[in-house]
Amino acid sequence: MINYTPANIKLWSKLGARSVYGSIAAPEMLEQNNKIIFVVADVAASAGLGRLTESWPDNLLNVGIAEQNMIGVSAGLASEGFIPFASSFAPFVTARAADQIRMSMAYMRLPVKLVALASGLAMGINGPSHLGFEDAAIIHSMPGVAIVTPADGLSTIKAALAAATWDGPLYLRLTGVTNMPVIYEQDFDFVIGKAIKLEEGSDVLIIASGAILHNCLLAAKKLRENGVSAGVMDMHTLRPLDTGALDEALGAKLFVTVEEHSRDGSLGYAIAAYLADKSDRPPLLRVGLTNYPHADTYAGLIESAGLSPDGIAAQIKEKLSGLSR
Amino acid sequence: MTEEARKCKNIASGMRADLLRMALKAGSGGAHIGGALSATDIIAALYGAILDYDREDWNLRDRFIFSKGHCVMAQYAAMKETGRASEEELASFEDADSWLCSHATMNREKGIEFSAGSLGQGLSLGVGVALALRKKGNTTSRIIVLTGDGECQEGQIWEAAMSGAQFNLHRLVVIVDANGMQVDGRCDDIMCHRDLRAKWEAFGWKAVEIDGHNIGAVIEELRAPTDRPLAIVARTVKGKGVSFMENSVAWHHGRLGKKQFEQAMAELEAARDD
Repeated sequence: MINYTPANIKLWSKLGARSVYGSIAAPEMLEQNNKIIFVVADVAASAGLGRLTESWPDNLLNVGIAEQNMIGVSAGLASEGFIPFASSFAPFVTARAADQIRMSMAYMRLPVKLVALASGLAMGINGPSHLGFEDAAIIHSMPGVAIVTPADGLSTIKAALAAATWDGPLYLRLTGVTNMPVIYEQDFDFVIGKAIKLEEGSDVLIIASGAILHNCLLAAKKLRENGVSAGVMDMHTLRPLDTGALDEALGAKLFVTVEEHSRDGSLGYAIAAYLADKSDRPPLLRVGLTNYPHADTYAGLIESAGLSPDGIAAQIKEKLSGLSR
Repeated sequence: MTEEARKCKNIASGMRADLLRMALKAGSGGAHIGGALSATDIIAALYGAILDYDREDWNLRDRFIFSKGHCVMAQYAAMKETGRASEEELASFEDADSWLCSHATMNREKGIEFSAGSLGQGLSLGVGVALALRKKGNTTSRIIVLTGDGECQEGQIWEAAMSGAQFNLHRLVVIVDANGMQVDGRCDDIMCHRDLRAKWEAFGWKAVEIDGHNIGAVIEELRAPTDRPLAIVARTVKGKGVSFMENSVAWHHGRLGKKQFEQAMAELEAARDD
């Protein structure tokens, strides 16, 4: 049984999303439902699932370094009523196995839960081969697969538990490194498809998900200090998109999407498509990667992609000044 | 020939006529009849003697996974010949509102376990199903995956082969319909497999090579006890049973005209009398 104490909540973010997923969320998920099978492509240790080899050996399946087979095996398990959570690093679990995901999860709607470890820029100096900044776009191109990106340790646990009861295929995108900043300080309701307003603000609405939300909150603070009222929304679910939450915010002067991802094909595109249907709408600024970065530390990659608090705030200010001219 | 094999042979004979009717109906759109005819005797053996679809609990049925999904018309034909699909249903082949699509389209109630058409994926699904059934304590059902030899050029087949042996899935069977041909020509010329049987064995499977048109041999190998996953490399002839289709790459996906149809039906009729 998970204890949502302040100390634990701090600890979980310290551990980081990957470790919390495997070492805290996974045992809890299995306590609730032993039909869950954690399927890994030689990443049991990387996913924090190593301890299951002793405590839940029948619920951990290692298929070796073979992601395409992992999706097929998971789909076969799902077709017989099991709940497979298949994981590897973001590019390997998406681009590498895209057609298998397309056939089994999207087309056949077999309820596999796919878990991307260390997506976004978390793999840092390992370089673009390991970075996850096209992964959400790949999955987003396939109708019907839910996409969920939690923001910190606690929300990773909440999202994983919610994913286990989600009726359908789902992509769980874990971002950030260890020592994640805490976004949610106490237990809260996490509902897939229901965005969470973290900060109120009337001028600008910053929409983001994952670890990068922390920088968005800091950017909003900077903007407020400069007289710009900026709100922040945790759009942890990219699909199904919470259009209701967006409808309520349409009065803003500017929508901003901030992504630890290519700014094409994912959240920014989804919001652009949503806005395109509205006759009276704010302009949209999309902040995110535009090309393959050179290998660097996580902090260095965040900085050079314009995703630091200063970088985000500066881009928003520039956009706002363009609007007022 | 045993009574059982004779029954399966009759099923195969009926299937070949069904396939010709479906191909004729497909008309200028063409049909994957060459690979359907090569697999016909194997599938007749499965539907006539091996697959058990009559268990009270549908969960205990055998799972037949049609990985070379472009040839699924052969499964439709087998279903018709064994009373699992009607003549009217067969006549709806490739109609927009029909479940008899040109590529396998998941339909659990009918025993079409998964959608297919993107090659190389069925064995992984079979591994997952075999693991699931073992976890559920189902020691009754067998999981039989049909692939092509061209399909064995897909790397995923060998990822799945490794895992089938690693997880000791002795209820899992792969049958390779080895007709030696693929869209662009002979497999040996395009991307030679060398010794397919030896490959499966090297991957940890019990591997046998048989004449895929010898229905008795297909049944016998499927009934032989095994403590490993079983790979049957079934040597077949593409287009088997229709002289102008046999060993012809053109009939991988071909358009059957009325005259050709009549000639082919006459050949089948003559063969039936033999």
